[in-house]
Amino acid sequence: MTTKLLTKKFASFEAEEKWLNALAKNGWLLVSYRNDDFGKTDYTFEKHERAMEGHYKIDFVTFKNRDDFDEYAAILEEGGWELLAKSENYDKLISFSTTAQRLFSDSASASMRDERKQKKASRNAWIFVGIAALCGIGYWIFDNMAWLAFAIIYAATSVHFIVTACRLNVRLQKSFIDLRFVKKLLWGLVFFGGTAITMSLLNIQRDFIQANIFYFMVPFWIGVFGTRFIDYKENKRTEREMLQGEETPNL
Amino acid sequence: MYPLSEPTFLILLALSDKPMHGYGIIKAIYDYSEQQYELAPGTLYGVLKNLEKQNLIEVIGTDLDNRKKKVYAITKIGKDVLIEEQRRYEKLLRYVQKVNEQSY
Repeated sequence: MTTKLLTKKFASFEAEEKWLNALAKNGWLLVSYRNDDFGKTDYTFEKHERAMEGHYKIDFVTFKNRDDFDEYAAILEEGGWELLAKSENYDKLISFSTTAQRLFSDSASASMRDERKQKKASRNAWIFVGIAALCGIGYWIFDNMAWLAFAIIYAATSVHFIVTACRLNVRLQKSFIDLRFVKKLLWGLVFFGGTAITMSLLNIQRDFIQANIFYFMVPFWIGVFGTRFIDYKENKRTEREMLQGEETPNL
Repeated sequence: MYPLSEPTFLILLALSDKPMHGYGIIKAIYDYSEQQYELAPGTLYGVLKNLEKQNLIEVIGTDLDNRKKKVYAITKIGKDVLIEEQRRYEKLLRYVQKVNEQSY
């Protein structure tokens, strides 16, 4: 049995499907694959006759547990699809079918996979930005280079998720940056500054906070005015939409 | 409330008849519609999870033959949404018929 290994990264699920189908046409059947969290995938192919009779389709689902994964696999199997993923740890799910049954009924439900991927990427972005910020604060308080190193590593990692989330937003024809995301970030600043000011009022770390009061007050006010500004913008937009009427005609 | 997508409507409609597991819904829609509608499995799963999140349907147990298959049932909110959607479709159909009558 000839086995081949390939590692590749794709800009979209469509491009990946096209590539897999081209390999299938040449008799290469995907037998297993492994995702890393940064978009790269290791594929294992074997030479099989039946590869030429089928095609691949990719879905993206974040499973809560093993039961959800088993349910998904059971539904696909009965629908004529062979799921290649082996556990709930996969979120990109590649399936193979030799039947005429489609995996998605319409383009609206097909774009749900992009929506779910966007959601996961922005959640990851949050986690990494959060850890980077905590390490940054750690460096500031303890003045130890190790904290700074970790802060840089996590900040650099978060870039990948931020770019992915923003790019998918464009694909889904939403605005490049999700305003709700920015608003949450700004509330974070308000909370950060507010906590420090409250701490100093309660005599906790008072000298440190008062010596660095600039670093606490500036984010606090940026947060306060930033959220007000976004509310103002959203309000304006809603008003405009209301005056222009609904997009779908009311028959 | 935005109009529901076609697969979402079909799934709610099927579940308003009786509780069913995932693939059972596809089969029920296929049979009842006399092979007019055949939902794809990926679409079905995505819609089920969305409906569950919006509390329009709920998991009431697992299939007796296969523990992996969850059985879904429509909720009270789901029924209300379905009735509202049905009215919307009826309204649309009446409008279409009116236009057609005029053009003949």
